[in-house]
Amino acid sequence: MKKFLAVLLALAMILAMAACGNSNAGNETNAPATEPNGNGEQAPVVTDPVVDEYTGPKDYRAWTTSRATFNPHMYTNSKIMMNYGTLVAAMSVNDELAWIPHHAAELPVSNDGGITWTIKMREGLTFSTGTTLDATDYEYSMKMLLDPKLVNKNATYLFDPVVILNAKEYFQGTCEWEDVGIKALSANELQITLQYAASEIDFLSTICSLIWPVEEETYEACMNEDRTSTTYGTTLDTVVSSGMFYLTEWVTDGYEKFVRNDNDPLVKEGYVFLDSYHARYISQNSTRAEMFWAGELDNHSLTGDDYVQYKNDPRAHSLLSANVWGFFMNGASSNPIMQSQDFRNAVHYGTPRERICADVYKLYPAAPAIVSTGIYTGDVYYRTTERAQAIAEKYATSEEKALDLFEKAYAEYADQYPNGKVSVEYIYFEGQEDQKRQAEILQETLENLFGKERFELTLRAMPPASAYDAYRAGDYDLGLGVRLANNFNPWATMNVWTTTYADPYQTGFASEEFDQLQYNSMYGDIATDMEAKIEALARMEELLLEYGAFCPVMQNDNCVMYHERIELISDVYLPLIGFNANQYNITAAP
Amino acid sequence: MSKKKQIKLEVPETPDLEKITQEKIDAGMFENVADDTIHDQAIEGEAIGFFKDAWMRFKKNKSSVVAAFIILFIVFMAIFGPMMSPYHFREQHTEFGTLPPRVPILENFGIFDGTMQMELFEADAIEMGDAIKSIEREFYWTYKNKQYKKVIANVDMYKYTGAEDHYFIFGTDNIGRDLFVRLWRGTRISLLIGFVSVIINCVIGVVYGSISGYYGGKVDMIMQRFIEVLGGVPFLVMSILFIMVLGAGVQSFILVLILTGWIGMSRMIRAQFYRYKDYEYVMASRTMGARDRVLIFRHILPNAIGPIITQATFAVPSAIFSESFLSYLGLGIQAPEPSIGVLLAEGQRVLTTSPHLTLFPALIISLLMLAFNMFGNGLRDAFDPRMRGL
Amino acid sequence: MLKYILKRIAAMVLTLFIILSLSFFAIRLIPGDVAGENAAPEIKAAMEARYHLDKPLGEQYVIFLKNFLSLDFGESMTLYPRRPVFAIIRDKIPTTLMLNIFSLCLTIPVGLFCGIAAALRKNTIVDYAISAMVVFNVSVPSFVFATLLQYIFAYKLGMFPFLLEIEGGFSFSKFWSMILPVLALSFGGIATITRYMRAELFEALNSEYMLLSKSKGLSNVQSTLRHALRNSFIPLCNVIIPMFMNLLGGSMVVENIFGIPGIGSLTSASIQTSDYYLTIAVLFFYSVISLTSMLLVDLSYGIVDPRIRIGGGKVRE
Repeated sequence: MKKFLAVLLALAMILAMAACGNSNAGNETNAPATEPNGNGEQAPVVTDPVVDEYTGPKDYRAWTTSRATFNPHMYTNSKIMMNYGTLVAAMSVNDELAWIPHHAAELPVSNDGGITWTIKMREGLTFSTGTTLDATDYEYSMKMLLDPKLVNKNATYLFDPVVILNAKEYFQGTCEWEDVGIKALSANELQITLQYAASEIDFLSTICSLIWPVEEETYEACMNEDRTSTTYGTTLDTVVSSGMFYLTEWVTDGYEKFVRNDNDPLVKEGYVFLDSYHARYISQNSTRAEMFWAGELDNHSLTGDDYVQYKNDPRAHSLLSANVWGFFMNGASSNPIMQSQDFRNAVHYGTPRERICADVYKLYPAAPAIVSTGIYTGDVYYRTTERAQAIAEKYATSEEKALDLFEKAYAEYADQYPNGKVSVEYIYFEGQEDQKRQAEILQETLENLFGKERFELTLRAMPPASAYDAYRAGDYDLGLGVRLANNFNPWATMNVWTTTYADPYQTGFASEEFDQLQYNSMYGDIATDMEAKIEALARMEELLLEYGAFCPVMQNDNCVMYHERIELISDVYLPLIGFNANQYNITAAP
Repeated sequence: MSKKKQIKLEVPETPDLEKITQEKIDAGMFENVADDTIHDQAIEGEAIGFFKDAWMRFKKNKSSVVAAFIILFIVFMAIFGPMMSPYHFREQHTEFGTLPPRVPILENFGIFDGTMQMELFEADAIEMGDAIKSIEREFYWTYKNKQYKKVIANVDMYKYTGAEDHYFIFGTDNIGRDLFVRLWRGTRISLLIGFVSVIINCVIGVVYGSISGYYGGKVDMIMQRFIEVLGGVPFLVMSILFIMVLGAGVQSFILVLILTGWIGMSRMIRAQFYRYKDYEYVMASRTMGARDRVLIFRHILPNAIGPIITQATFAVPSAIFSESFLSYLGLGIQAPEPSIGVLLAEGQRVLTTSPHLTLFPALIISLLMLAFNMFGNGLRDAFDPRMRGL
Repeated sequence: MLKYILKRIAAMVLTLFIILSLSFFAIRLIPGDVAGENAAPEIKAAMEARYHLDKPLGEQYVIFLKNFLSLDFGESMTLYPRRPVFAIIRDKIPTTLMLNIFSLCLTIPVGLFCGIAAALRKNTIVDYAISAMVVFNVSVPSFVFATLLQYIFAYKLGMFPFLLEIEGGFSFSKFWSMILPVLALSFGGIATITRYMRAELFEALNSEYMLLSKSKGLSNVQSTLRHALRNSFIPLCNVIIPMFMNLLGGSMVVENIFGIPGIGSLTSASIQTSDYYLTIAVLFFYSVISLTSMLLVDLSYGIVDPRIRIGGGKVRE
């Protein structure tokens, strides 16, 4: 008995010591400062690598802004839909983006150059309810996604940019389901037929990784009588998970908790390290910041104000955005001077993007051109190509050019304004402090550059939805905004500038050459010729800048801080998945 | 004065004596013992009117006098403050972003000297060079088994950004605009919004409340239902709708504040009418054929002057408050124009990193609240007839 | 009395109908986009057809009224896609209600206590201290106060958690996490009640019946407790009822800062995302609250003070 007690005592002591060690490692950030001279050398001793041995709970503590729904047909932010699986998962492997078959057994194959794709499914997959998940569930999900009565927001995934045969027609109610190119050939074989040939990367990054399956039984149970609406995914008990994590707790606008699903094939293959992922809904940035500094959150997005102090912090990780923000310039505005190409170009050259970025956003780089540095073309970043660099150079900020062009435009249009004072309105988004600052700098700079007695820029704040509505109606002069881009297929997202696009923001830009280039690089003769496609992209970008349809300002590359205990799978920010939340690892207790 | 006259008239005079003579009683038989001069002391000093009385009592209340001076001072600064600074409210020095306050003389005593405490990595600290005034402490920060030397330093932000020749006594915002100018400019706009909306509210409220309270019955019922509809719409929803449709500007703010702001005033006036319209003196006037207009404006309404002024005084700061709340929602006044609310909302976001951006606007709005409240209290006591002569 | 109540309720229904109609048209004045930014044109067109936005306004109104009368309040369009608006509001009420009841439990006693203390000790240091508190409460905007609370007590001192605990059932740690938000919520209310109570009680103390009660031999304490205090409570329902009802509406500021999934942030979010049905429902909800509280206040007048009669013409008959 005594022996037993002694062993117990020894165990307890070891445990206590281990606990001390652990808590030391975790609290390093808050630990009182060690004297630089006296105890400086002592520090390495404290941080003995307990790291790899950490076996405690791996619960990632994240924050999120509004979580509206878990209905995969309505929600778009794929990065945090961790409870849904897809056919193929984008994962980070050896610092590179890799496509790993998830619900599919292997990567999809096409034998006819990218028209018909066959996907073999894994066997033995289940939903969180226990029902089996196979190819027919995928067919059902896509059928419901396209359902003409349900009108799902994400239906567009099936016909833009990769176009499934007759998908759009079915969505618009003009054909039968049998005619649509989606077929479950058997329980574990799915066949997708496209209208135009698609490259593998396009097929993988859309159909394969954006279609989340729904569970038929629950989906039907949530449907209303006339089958026009379903409450699937609006409350915890109507969410059926199928991914690497299961959603186990959810309070709308409160918090959500995902727990690892050990039956998931990728979990079995060892891609996932977290036990659970816990996200609180926090809308106030200062709250998030304080919680992060206090060690209660595992990540935090830096704002420009914090950036000065933390730019060299090893915890800070820069992201690379696919989008360039700027403002649309309406050449079809009723305001006469807006119709002048010279004037629009003058605004382009006069926009102090470097200063806006350095002094307001601090962490965003300035962008003189429309395509972001985060865009991949084939195996290179487009912006690093010679052609693209020449464009960026040509359209770099230049006060002289701006002033010259303004003089030209002014001479032509001044008499149409009372007292010869040209007045232009700039719309920005309400409630966004930084965008307001941006607007104020733009106003001050342009007015000073062009002369306050000759030029006036009035500002107007609007909620984003209203602003975009004004752009559609063509009821604006200059308007802040963005056209979202696709990381791998910038040609696809260029379609918003074509004359055939059904819902454009009015800028007066219309170019046959542009339309032709866009069509050719998507579906035409150069669709498979990457070199020609890069040239086409460059030409399209040039056409837009030449006309002055959009004035690029900055690229919203945010900067995220991670808690010390978080280990990222890779320090390289990858397109589409970033640092991939699914693959985070935790090396210490909070 | 009037009292004196009355008394003189009442003095019994000759008629009695004449009567006596008619009865053939010789006047000589009597001796006039009545003393027809008045020995009462004439009341010296003037009669005190309503306003005069109120003024006298107001004067006695020290705190409200101080409050009045504070209000006057703020109004003065709101008008002339922006002119005192070498900067314009729109003037940007983007390189001087978020500088802490620096005040000439005070800086020598170590306060408001434009320094900021920062936790820096050594590399950053070296880069800052002699902008670092003093180093509080140095320490090693360990991250993933690697050591980083960090310092907590007092950084002279003015030197760091190259703004040594400038004195921004309230500091600057993040695009380097002088907060002093912007604050007074903002105060001007906030006060304008406050005053104009309150004046309009008073007019509408008084007219509406008088009619509703005086006529009562069906008219009152209908008018009260109308108020109910208006009052039933939540203020926030209505303001957001209005500002979205009309765009954010001084006019739309005033309009939003007017939309429901007069309801309180009209209720109060209505209650006053309910109270006074049954009084005997009103009844008497009515029997003598006074018209409704006379009854309303001459007889009943003056009773409410005190409460009207008092309520209006309290309404000014609450209008300014509403404006600041809307600014917090991002519905603030149109940039680049500041208002106290806009400045506060901007400051609140960075409260922990640059407190000066919140401190000064909050100070002004608190001073305004305090002053208007004390002033209002003083007025209320001064106008309260029950406090007369106290 | 019953007749009066019925009459008022009928008027309320009419009022609600007017508010409903007004809000229906007002919300459509705001340019908006039901499909969301950067949505494909096909989706946008289909979405508009789904919500009948492609039909003339009059027709839309008829459809809306028909649905509304059959208690179908519609579904959220953009904020919580496809979720019935009724469910959204219903699910958010419990948290809001719980916080607000706690807040009232703090506000009313503290407010009353401070008010009474200030009135009884008028023009002493107690009175001045309480007045200073009141002034502080009314002169610091709630968003600054709440941010400061969080910064000082949660971040600097680490005494309280940053956010309201939502997970799990009721526990001590949950109660602990409610303290900061409750304080922030009660901040303004305490000042209001204190101010009212002080004024009312002071007036009551100086009234003639107090003189009478003292002259008939009641002690100071007795007369204050039995007469002055009781009388000064009457006008308080004027303040407390609307306060309760307003709290039901939640507070956007406090919710944002303390991460509370309450109802307060629905308003501006739904308007800004042009979520038509949700906006109308929220507006309707608030209108019901404010109208009910107005009715309750009027009724309470009659109940607590029979001298007050409501209605009546130009001259009292």
